[in-house]
Amino acid sequence: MISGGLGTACFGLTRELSKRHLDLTFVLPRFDVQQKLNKVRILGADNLLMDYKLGGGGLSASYRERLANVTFIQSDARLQPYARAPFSALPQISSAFSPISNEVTSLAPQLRMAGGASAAGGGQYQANIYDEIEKLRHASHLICATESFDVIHAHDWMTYAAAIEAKNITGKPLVVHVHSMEFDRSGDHPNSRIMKEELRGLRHADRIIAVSDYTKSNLVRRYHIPPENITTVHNGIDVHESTTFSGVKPLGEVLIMFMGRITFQKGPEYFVEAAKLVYDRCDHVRFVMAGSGDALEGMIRKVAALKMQDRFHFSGFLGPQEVEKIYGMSDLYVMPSVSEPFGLTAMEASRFHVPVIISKQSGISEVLDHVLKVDFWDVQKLADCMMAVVRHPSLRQALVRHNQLLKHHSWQASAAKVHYIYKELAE
Amino acid sequence: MRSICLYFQVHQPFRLRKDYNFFDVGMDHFYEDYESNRAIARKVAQKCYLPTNRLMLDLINKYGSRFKVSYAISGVALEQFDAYCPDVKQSFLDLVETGCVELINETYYHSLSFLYSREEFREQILLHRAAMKDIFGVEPSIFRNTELIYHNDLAQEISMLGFKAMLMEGADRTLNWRSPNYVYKPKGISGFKLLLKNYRLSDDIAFRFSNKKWQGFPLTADKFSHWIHQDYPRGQVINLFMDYETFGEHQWSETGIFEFLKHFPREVLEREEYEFLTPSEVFEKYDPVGDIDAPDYVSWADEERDLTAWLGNEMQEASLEAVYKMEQAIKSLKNPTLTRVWRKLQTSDHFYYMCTKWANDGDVHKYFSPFDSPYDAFVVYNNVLSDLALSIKNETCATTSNF
Repeated sequence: MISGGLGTACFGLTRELSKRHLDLTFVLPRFDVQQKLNKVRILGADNLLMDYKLGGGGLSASYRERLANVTFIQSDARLQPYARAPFSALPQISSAFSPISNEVTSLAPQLRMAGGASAAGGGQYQANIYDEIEKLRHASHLICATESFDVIHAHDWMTYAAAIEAKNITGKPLVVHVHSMEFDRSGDHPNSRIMKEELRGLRHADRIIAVSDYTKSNLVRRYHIPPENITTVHNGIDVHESTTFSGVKPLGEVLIMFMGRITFQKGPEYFVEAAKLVYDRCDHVRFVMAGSGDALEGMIRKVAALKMQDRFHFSGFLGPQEVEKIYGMSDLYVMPSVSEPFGLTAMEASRFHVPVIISKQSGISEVLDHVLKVDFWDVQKLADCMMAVVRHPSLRQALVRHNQLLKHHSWQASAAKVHYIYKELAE
Repeated sequence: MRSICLYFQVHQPFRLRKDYNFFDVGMDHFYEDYESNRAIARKVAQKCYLPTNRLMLDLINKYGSRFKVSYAISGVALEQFDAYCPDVKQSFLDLVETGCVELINETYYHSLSFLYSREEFREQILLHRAAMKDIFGVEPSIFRNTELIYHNDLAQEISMLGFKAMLMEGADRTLNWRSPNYVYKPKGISGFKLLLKNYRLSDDIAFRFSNKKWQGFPLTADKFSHWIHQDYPRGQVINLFMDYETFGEHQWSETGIFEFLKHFPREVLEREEYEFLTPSEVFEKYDPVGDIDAPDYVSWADEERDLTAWLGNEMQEASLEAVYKMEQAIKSLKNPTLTRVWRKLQTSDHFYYMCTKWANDGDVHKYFSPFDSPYDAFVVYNNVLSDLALSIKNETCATTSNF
């Protein structure tokens, strides 16, 4: 189950890294969905801990068996020998392909925010998030005892405690990958516990990867991290999937969409306010806000108060097929994020040939050239841009045509940069 | 001899599909949740309408013309009886035939039209009137507005339409702390009378009957009759107004509500101090003792007894405004199907589901709402309304291009 930018990014990156003759072990706090990924072993920390307890504290047979089961998830038959081999054999096999030993353990939190897949509020973590982190940290001991690896790669603050533990035990270098900061998510009301955790991870890191220069500069500014410790690796996009989709526009109107977690960080309020300015000028424009989150109810009330609900709709959280459908229907995608470390959805919109307006406060604005860029707070400017796209189909076409250059931003390119960092650190 | 007047509201809305989403707008013109409307109509028929009507008929047969009741049955409820449970309609026909039952006029669609369009309001009253005539062969002379909503201007309007009287909530602030147990008249209007609900006694049955924490629990017919005789030594009439679904649906059969109803007439009639009268008979018998001045709206809903159950937040306000804004466009099309669809969207329940008052009464709203939240109710309602607006637009284009 991949939801949100972090899940998508980990998936794309890990998939491409695995093609580069690296042996990857991917650790998730919970692992209950079978995700097929070439050459990548996925471990669920919850399973490890359960087996650990069952075995009375030792590395029981059931634990080994379970690990074997987990590896068995791989569908690629060629990998069967890897899976069945004793764990100690793994590095040798991997080094057969690569000049240096390239075992990497990646830690990624499964994004289980309440607003992720459920209809409930977003932006809020589950109440037991700190318990989950502690469990992951415990699991880290078990992983260090059984796995051999050369680099530890941790994705966002929830994994930092476990990663630091692994580093302390094994002395292996730590890469901390920043997909989003507490400052992005919560603006001027950050959770100090999370900020402390972020800072701890950043300080223990041997190398920091930021998903954009925007995030890099925020790391320098907010946490006083020396810029030379940070490498920017932009996220990629799966261009090969961009070929066909059906653009059905049943309403014969111009449809402007917002999609994402409906929470402060994504700037839904600026979208609503700009929409109102456009609504008052054009009667053949319709708006849709897709997603759910802690600000959804407030946005619904706001749209009601502005009395534009006849042409401003809320679709709720959408499944993959509905996402495709809504992109197909849309004439313009707006991402007015207050602070967006990257902004994969804007790239996704481009993949679906939908022109894009993004906020300047986003990492994606460094990557996409043929988009309209506004400051998130500049509602008037945002409305002007919307109007321009609505009134000039030629502008729409030009924006779409030029964004076909997305090929430059493949996950292969991102993976190559990450691989290079691994090599440097492992030497 | 003093009087007791029983009046029951019989109403079921056409509930909308909970899954009517953004993708359906412009594509799918079927808005109602047929399955659930059918299931609810049949469930309430089995639990309430059929057994209660049977009991009422028994009581009327038993006490002759000494037991009388009155009903306002909304047009949308009648349509659903026709479609899903014709035996309920028949049982009301049987009751009306006894001559001990009075039918009261209301807006056919149980709407809040008075607040937005006088023209639409009058048309819906006439529609309901026609239905009463067609189905039951009666012409009501008394009016009751949706959920007992009342205002000075409404009394003016209703008296001008030729009604002799109307029912309303006996809210303390409107009565100015006078007793609800008298006939009143609207301030500045003569020849028109008002009957006010005794909300304490009515709610003892409708809301508190099965509440074990209530000091009156358990409520028996004997005890209730005792209260009436003891606590109200003076006055003309005690008006017990409530949802008909109180019997068997809001208060389940297991609570003893049917036993209560079965014995209540005997307990009253035996003491020979009170008689049962229909609203018309009450108005014939008594002269008004004072004026009612209601410059602000009153209703029987929630603690506030005002409009906030339907018109208390921006979502309700926007939705109501939007549906009535379509009036001219709809009516100029003269398309009976679209007009009917539009009118069903005026039923007050749609706005009740959008209520966000979560204290005490919020629970009641939640109980009655098919939606998970008032926000969902708003989103679905307005998706539907947007689709209807598109249909109107298409229809209008088609009509004009013919010329």
